[in-house]
Amino acid sequence: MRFQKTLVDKNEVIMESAYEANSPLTTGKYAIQMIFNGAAAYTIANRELNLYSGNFIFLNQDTSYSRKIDSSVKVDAMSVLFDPDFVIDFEYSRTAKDELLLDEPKAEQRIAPVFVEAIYPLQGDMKFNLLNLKKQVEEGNTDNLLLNTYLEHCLLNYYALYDAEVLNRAAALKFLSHTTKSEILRRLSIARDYIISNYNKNICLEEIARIACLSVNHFLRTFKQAYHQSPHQFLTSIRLRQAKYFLRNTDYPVNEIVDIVGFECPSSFIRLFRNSFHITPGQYR
Amino acid sequence: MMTDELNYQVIFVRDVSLAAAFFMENLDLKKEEDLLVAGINCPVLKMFNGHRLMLLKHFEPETEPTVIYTDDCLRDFCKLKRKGIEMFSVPIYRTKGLSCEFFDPSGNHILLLEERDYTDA
Repeated sequence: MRFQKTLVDKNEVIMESAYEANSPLTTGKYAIQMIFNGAAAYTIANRELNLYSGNFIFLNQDTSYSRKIDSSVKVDAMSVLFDPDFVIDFEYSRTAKDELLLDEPKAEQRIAPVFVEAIYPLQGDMKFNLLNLKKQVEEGNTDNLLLNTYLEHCLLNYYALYDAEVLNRAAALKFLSHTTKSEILRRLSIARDYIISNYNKNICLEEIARIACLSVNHFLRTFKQAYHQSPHQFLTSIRLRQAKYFLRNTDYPVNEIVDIVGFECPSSFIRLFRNSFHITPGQYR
Repeated sequence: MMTDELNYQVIFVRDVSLAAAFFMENLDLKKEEDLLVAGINCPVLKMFNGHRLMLLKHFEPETEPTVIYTDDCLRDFCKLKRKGIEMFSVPIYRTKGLSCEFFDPSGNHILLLEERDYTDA
């Protein structure tokens, strides 16, 4: 099943449900790519990333990417594509003073914003708005006013998330230069995406640091400054979050889930799960 | 979905039939029953989450905002705007969820709230 809807302002919502699919190389629009069920492999510039259920990635308009779905379970994916002019106008109306907006209502000659591209968990208002948008699209709603209102709110939610997850975290880094902070956070984001993307594999610290183009010590220190946890704690939290997803959405036995999410033994998984969520996996299910 | 303990509220309206039609048509409330209170017909409408709204004929509107729950605030906001109903707040994010506000035809201050459970979202 494939649905494609082009909205006013050249924004698009694309929904897909497939076991196997190859999306061609895409560029030219800002994109929120998300997976509701299963996983998809993305090639983004020179990075290979896996996007798992319950996550989304935001991509810049000049980024080239392709997606491959090859799964034993049906993968439900949704892409929201924003026309660069829409994002430029949105940013202008968000940042310009009211007087300026009255004098110059159009964002003429503005430069398209560039974001640090990263994978985020689909949660909070972003999740609720995207699920409501998905529901409307599935019901065949073609009301452009409504669909564009969802898109505006998705951008609003993304900007709030970006402020919290990127700008505030960059500010927390203990460097004097703003440029250095931004560059370190960009590299940490690459490492973070690598961990999320390979959460169920046996990945080592040296490998993650190499991906981020940082020494192991530098990587460890700056990761903790930015995210207030070690890379290992972050990896464990991702595994536990994915375990919660499988507990809630599948009937896989706990032992199998332990294996799928990359834990080595069920007893340590149960202990970690109980310590983190104050409930056992069985009770959570 | 979170629900408050109080799930039955009364709203004063000038014309119960017109008010019932307004809430059912614009906010998808369903008529559950017609109650007779002192010989006067009072429709009871049901919201998507089970909360009830009883319409009572009265010429003065409510002084406090009346909360009406919805499962999609943006959808209802656009629907009301399209019908020409003046909204006096755009959708706003609150700790309980997403809400917007408007006056109904009887002059009641309505707070339309999409409750969101952020604890496990």
